[in-house]
Amino acid sequence: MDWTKAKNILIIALLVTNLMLLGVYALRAAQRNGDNDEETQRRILTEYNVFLETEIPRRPAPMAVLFVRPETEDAALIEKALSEQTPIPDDGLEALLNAANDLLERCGLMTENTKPAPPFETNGGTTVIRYRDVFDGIPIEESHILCAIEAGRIVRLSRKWYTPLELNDTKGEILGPIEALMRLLPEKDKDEPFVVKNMELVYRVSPERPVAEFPVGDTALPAWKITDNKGTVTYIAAYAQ
Amino acid sequence: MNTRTALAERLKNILLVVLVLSTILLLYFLWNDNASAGFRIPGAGAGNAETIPVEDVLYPERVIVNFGAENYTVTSETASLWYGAEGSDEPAFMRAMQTFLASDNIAVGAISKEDFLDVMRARSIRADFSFAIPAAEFCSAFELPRPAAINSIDVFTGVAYSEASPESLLLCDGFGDRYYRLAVDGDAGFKDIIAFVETAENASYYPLRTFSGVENDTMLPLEASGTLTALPYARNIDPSDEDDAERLRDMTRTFFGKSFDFTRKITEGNGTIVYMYGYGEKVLVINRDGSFEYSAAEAGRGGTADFFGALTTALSFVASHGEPEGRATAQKRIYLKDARSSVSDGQRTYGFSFGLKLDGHTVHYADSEPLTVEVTGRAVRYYKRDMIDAPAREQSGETPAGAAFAPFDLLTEHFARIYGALLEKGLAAPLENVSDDERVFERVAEMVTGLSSGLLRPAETLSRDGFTVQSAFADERNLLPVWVLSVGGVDFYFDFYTGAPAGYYGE
Repeated sequence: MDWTKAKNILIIALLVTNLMLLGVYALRAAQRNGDNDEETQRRILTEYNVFLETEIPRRPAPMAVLFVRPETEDAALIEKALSEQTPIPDDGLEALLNAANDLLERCGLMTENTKPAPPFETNGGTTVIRYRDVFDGIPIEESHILCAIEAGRIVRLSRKWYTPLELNDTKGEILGPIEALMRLLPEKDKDEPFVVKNMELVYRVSPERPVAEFPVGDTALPAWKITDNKGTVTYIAAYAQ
Repeated sequence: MNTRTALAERLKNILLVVLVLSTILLLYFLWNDNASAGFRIPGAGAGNAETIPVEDVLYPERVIVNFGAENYTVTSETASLWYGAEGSDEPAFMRAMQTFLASDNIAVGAISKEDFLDVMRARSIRADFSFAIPAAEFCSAFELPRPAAINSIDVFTGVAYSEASPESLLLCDGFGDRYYRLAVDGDAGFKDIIAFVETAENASYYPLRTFSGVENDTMLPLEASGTLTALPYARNIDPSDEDDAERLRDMTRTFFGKSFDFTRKITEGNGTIVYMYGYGEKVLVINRDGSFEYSAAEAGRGGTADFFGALTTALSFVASHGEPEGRATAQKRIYLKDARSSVSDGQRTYGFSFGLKLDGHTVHYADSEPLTVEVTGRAVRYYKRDMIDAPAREQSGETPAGAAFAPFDLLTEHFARIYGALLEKGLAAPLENVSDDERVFERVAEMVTGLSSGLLRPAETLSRDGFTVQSAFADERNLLPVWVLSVGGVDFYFDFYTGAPAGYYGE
C-alpha cells in the first residue's frame, strides 16, 4: 500500500470536511446576528411605522432561565443604619453615591450584582440614587434599590430584590431584536408611529402569580424591554417559540 | 528514504492528527448549536402513547337483581357482569346487547316511569350508571350494531330487563326521567344473566319502602358482615420527600415537554410549587399534599370530539401524567364516576370525574375527587389529580372487625340530624312541626337515593353539625370503613361498625 498517497487523500478529504463544517457554522452565526445590516433592518421597520431612535442591539446567544430568591429586608437594620449615618460633606453626585454605597454596605445589601443605575433623578431638593440587580451583564427587572437623599442625609431606602441563585442547565434560542419588535405590531395601531427610544434584554420576573402566597423561589426569564418615546415600557418574552 | 521525505511524512502525520481533532471539535460545536436551537411546546401529553382502555373505567355503578317475590340483591362489582369475564362465555350485558341490537325490526317507544317501575317488580335485572351515556355513540364506540331505533334515544343512565316483558330491553335516563322500551320478536336474551347471578352467593337487599312505609325503591342490605377495615394510606407523590423528587420532576416534565426547561417555577412559602408557561398559557400547581392541578388556556384546538373521543383523550392524559401504574391492577383501579358536558363559545367541554377502588372497595374522598379531567375539543383544558396509595390488604395486618352496623338503623338513629343538615343546605323543605319525628323521618326516607359501603378518606378538617371527623383520623392517614347514605344529593358518612356520624359531602 502507498501510505504517502493515502495520507494525501485523507488530508484533502479532512480539509474539505472542515471547510464545509466551518462554512455551516459561520452561516448559522451570521443568521443569528442578522443577515441584514442595521440600515436594512430600520427600513423594514419603517414600512411598519416603527422608528428606532436607538441602536439595534445584537442578537444574543442562547440563554437559560435564571432561578432567583425574592428577598425581604430587615426594616430595623435599615432604620438603625439611617439613624447612624454621618452628614454627607457635599451635594456632588459622587459624594451622594458614596454615601448610598456606604449605607448599603452597612445594611449588607451591597452584592456583586448591585450596580448603580444613572442618571439619578433630582426633584425639589431630593436626589434618588437607583441601583439595579445585574446578573452576568443583564439586569433583573423589578429588582431595585432606591436611596432618597435630602439636605445631606439619606432619608429613605426602599428595596425590591431578587437574589440570583443559578442558571438552568438548558439554554434556549433568543429572539432577535427585529423579531421582538415585529411581535409588537399586532398590538399597536398600524397608522400611529411607534418610536423606540430604548431596547434592552433583561431578566424578568413576571408579576403574574397564579397562587396568592409569599414565594420563596421564583424564575426570571429573558425578555426584551422596549421603551417608547412616551415612556411606556413593553416586555416581549424573548424565547423564540 | 531521504531525510527530506521522512520530514514530509512526519509533517503529514501531524497534520492528519490536527485535522481529525479539528473535525471532532467542529462537529461538537455544530451539535451544541443544534441542541440549543429553538424549542417548541409539544401538546401536554404528546410523546406518550400509553393510555387506559375505556373498558377499564366504564361500567355500571351497581347492578340490581330482582329474583322475584321481593327478593333482591345488589352488586357494585359490575365490570364482569357488564362485559363478561375475559376468556369465558359467561352471560353479560354487552354480550346480550350485541345479539339484541343485531335483531331485525327493533321497535322503540317511550314508557312512563310507573310502567318501568312496575315491570321491574317482576323478576328482573337493572344496571345503573352514575352518569349519562349518549346511546348512539355508545353503540359506535363498542362496535355494537346500531339500529335506527337507537337514534331516537338521546342518552341513558341505566339498562334493564324484566321477565314481565321478556321481548324488551329497557333503557332509562335517570337524570331526564325518561324511559324507553326496545322490543324484538321473541326473547331479548337477558334471562341468563339473572340466572347466572342467582347461582352465586348474594347478599339480600330490600327496597326501603318495605320497612319505612314511604314509596322509595332505594335498595338497602338486610345486614352486612364486617369485611371492611381501616386502611393506612400514603400520598401517591410526596413533594417534601427527597425520594420522590426525581419522580416529581419527570411527572412535571410530561406537562411541558421540551419547554419544561424554559418554564417559570415559583416555590411558595407554604410548600406549593407552581410551574407557569408563558403568561399563564399552561399552569401546573403542585400542592404540598401531593395533589396537583393543571390548566391550559389555549386548549380546545383540533376540532370537536364526542363523548367517547373526549373520554379517550382524558384517559390518555391520565395515563401519561402522573399515574405510573397506568392500567388498573387488582388492588387499585380507577373508574368513571361522573361525566357532564357544557357548551361555551360554540365549543363543547366534557368533564369527567374518576373514582378510586382499593381492594374492590370504593374510596370516598370527603372533600374532592381522585381525578378530574376537562376536555375541550381534543385537548385537556383542566386536570386535577389527588391519588393515594395503600398497602395490599394482607400487608396491612388488619382483620375484619365483626358485625356491621345495621343499615336501616342509620336512618332511624340519625334522621333528625340528617334533616337538620339538609335544612341548613336548603335541600329539604321545612316542615310545619319539626318535633313530629314521624313526619321528619318520612321526609328524610323519601329523599334517600342510595346506600353503599366503602372507605372514607377524611378531609383535613371537617366539622359540621354533629358530623365530625376527629382530627386524629386525618393525622393517622387511615381510610375509614363507612356506610355512605345518599340523601337529597348529599353523601352522609357513618362508621361502618358503630354507625357514628363521620361527616357529609355534596351539593
